[in-house]
Amino acid sequence: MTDMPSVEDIQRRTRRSISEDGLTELGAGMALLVVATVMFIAVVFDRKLFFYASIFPALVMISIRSLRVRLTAPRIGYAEPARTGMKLGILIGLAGLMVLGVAVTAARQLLSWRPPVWAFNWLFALLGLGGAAALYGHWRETGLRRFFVYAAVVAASSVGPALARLELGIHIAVATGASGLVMTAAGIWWLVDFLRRHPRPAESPAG
Amino acid sequence: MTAPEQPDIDRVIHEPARLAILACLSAVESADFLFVASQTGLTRGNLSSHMTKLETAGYVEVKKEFVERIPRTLLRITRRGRAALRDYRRSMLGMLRDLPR
Repeated sequence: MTDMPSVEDIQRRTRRSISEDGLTELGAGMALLVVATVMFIAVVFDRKLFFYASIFPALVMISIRSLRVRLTAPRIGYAEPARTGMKLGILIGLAGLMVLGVAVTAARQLLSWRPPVWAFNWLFALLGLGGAAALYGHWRETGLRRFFVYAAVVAASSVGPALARLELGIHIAVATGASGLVMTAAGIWWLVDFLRRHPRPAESPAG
Repeated sequence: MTAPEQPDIDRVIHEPARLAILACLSAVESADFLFVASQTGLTRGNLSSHMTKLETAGYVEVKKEFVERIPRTLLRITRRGRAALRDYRRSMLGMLRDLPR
């Protein structure tokens, strides 16, 4: 290496490499599909399985990490993505939800005020838009166009049902189902493409 | 007549391979040798030699950790390394700005 490298190009290419295996969207997609299935069962069969909606996504993300170690790492090496943006995003999101929860509870107790039903639809739509913003940011960082597409799908599927004034359970099922289907299918496609482009290196002979 | 003052460039970072290594590590939390080698195009031997210089300068740290019960040697840029990369970028931009047209 004799030419001075572009620091920004290398950083962008590095972040892109971490996400090119398709496992990020596969994990997120599967977690969303679980939430969609639980909401669908709750709406159609009146069975409340919210416990699974809360723990299964975490199990999926852990499995994806394990897949990354066993499939991706032998081919292009292993890297932990930088977490600064995500930590800040989660912190802001949790703080916002806490403030909102305290405000709504206080209003109900002190003023006997009940928020209108549509407010919860738009709260969920806001959460969806937050997710879309995170995916958009990931596109800007990596240059992987498919994350822009995911952002658009998540934004549309979160806001559309709110505009259509669907019942909250159906809204959540539609939004998470649509986003989950698209991201899971795309994740499988990109994973197969990645495994085809990066065959596993041959084992070195013993001795 | 006094000799002109040499610009203050960090010679550890100024080497293209080491600049590429630091650029790669600055974009991740940590990475193993294979990942850094695949991103920078360096051979493992070359990478190892440059890593030693960066580690001696305190810009990177090398740690053996278990990831999913598999032992890995992970490379990580230190705070000092990030600051040095930032200062290097600033001095290079300053030098280019001062160049006559």
